[in-house]
Amino acid sequence: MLSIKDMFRLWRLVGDHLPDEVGDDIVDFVGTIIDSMIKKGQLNNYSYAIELMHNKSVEELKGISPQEGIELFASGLADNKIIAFQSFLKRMEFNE
Amino acid sequence: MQTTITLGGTQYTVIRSKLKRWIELELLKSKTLEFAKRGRAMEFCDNILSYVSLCTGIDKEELDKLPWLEIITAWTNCIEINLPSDEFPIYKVQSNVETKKAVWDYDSRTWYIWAHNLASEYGWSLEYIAELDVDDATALLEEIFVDEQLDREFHWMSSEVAYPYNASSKKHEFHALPRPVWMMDEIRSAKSMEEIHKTKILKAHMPVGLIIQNGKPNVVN
Repeated sequence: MLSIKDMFRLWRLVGDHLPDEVGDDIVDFVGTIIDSMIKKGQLNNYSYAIELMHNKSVEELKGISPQEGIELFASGLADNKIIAFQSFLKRMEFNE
Repeated sequence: MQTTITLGGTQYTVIRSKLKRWIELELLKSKTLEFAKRGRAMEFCDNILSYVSLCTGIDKEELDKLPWLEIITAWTNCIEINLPSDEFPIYKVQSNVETKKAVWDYDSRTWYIWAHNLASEYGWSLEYIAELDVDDATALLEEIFVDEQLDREFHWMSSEVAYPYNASSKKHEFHALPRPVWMMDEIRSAKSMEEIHKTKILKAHMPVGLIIQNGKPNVVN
């Protein structure tokens, strides 16, 4: 799991793209985030987030398939408990 | 009072801080909340790490590497163990009015305000005051403030300014010296300032004649 400072770095990359309501379906959840990144022209955030969450370099990421990328992205968000972090920021009334 | 927290797989016993350390922690806590309001992420994190570091004795750099959830859990537990008793009116009732910082104010002044008041009253050394239990120190400080307020009220009552002339009643009437919010009966019974709602009433709907306010008659025309 990421440190608190790295978690804020991750939040800057994905925070704006999290769906308002989170269901049980991780595929839907990740799909909504990626769609939002595409719409807002911030798809770079996707690869930066994978780099940060899995401590991988750009070179290492070039060799992976799109499917592997999505899996890394989804598992990274789940392992780092992004939804719990979102609740924490809300509780703290953190001004984004 | 103590609690056990787990950080990086190791268990640490955290004991309730004594006065001087507690004041330092309170300052860090309020700064953390302020940074949250202003969206200053790195300063927010630094303050949380400093808080946990002061409570556990672990270096900030070491804490910085640990999972965020462990840090936040530890921070919350440390805050909880350091909460003062909730029976003190001085903590229960907070004024909504934002007090302006004095030009002679500085970050660590709060400790010196506590120390100055307790040392002046009881003649204790700084080292002794620093090691006081927070609840004991709070109760004593509250007594000092109450004594000072009652003393001021006595002097106020004996001065002319406490009896301004009321043109409508053609009399000098006593006006009590305002008390700090936490000493006001009506505020204390309302528990907090937020529970008192102000309602605007048209002037035409206001009562006229003799009005008994706070047990004293007041003529309104």
